[in-house]
Amino acid sequence: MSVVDRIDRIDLWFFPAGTLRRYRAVRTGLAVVIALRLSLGSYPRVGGLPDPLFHPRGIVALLFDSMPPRGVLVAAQVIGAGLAWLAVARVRPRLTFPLAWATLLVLAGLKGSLGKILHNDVLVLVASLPFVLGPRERPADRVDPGRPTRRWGWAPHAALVIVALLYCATGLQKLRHSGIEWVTGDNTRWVMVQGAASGRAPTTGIALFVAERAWLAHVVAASFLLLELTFPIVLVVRRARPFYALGAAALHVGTWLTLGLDYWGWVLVVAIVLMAGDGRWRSGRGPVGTSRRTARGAGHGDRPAILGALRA
Amino acid sequence: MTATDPAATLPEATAPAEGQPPWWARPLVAAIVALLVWCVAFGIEAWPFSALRLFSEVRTGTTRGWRVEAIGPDGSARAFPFADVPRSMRSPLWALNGMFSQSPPERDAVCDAWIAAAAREGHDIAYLRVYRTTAEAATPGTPPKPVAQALRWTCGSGAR
Repeated sequence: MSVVDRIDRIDLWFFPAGTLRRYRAVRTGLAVVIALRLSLGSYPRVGGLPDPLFHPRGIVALLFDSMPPRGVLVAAQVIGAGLAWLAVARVRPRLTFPLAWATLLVLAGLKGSLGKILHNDVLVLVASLPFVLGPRERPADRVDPGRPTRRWGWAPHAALVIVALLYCATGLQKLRHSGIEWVTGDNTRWVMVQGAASGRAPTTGIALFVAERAWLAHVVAASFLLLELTFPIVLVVRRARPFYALGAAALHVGTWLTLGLDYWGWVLVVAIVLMAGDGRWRSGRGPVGTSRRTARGAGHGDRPAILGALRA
Repeated sequence: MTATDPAATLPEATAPAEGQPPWWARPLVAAIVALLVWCVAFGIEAWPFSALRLFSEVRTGTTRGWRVEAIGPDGSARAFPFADVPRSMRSPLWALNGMFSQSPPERDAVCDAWIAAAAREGHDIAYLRVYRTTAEAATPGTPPKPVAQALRWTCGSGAR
């Protein structure tokens, strides 16, 4: 296989054919998550924070020198939530989705400007990036929204890659900073005990139940780490996606019950990105939205013009 | 295109140019993946990208915390009334952790902000003392016992 062929294959894998139906399903699903986060979040709580306590990061640091007043944050939240729900209803989604996304980006970023980034909204924001600049739906696209084409396949697949990378990276960071002791030591037992003592969890019974049984704590730790490290399997084994969606749900529901951590947005994003609009997760392997054979068949007429010129 | 090229038999709407991702898709995806990897590899927190260090440190029975003491004009000491300040200022953990890397004037500014917020609720505070506390539990499940408390900073304009 020549170098050009290899590049061609990699490009086809990263930017596969997919259907407009799946594109719409994933974008709408992500819009639902953004709408719910904006509708239910307590972002205005940080309004009016004094400057010495304001520590913005990333893009928020570029936009703000000081925390806006609470009234401004409330207004932004109301408007952003409205835009998000319009995006859910597919009203001018190429306009409403990016505006709602930008609102959540700013509000969540401001909420995380107290000295530590809050990760609750990281997954929905980063996984939504491929959809912020969406291609325009042309009449030919609407005639058959179930026809695979690379115009619509790349964004849901990019979101899938992002989700898989995020989870895998989270697991790698545990190994990097703690080593296997993260599983084999008493780490999980201490996390449970300290979580129970924090007063944030809805119940202390589950955390203490795990903490009192060393074998169970090791099993929990190993399961969570294994889930995170092997998440990229969803990129090549479509049948695994429902199990990883369930696994992610179990992980985040578990951390809510034991530690009081609010990651329901992550549960929804995983389910949406892994399975929305793609009924073929029951069979086959290969890029999202199509089997590898179909991707080759649909993609043959869609080869990158650059690489086609190189091979001519 | 040749007569045997499948693309030659496709309808015009599915010609290669129509089926391509937008021209900006490849640079966009490359930039996202690169930023993700860069932040994780180098521990960068650049919202919305993150180093993703979620519970990445091993926990032990030793827990460290903070205690903030409010000193009145008459020298009396009591716990700082965090419950009376605005909600955005009631969780001082991150602000206190950040004080390690701040200069004395910056720490004074933080403390003055808390003092001013408390003053609006009727508390008369001259300055603050910030203590670093350490507690240890022998085994998971046993209550932690305080083992050390060290005065780290005296801050606020009233302390000078």
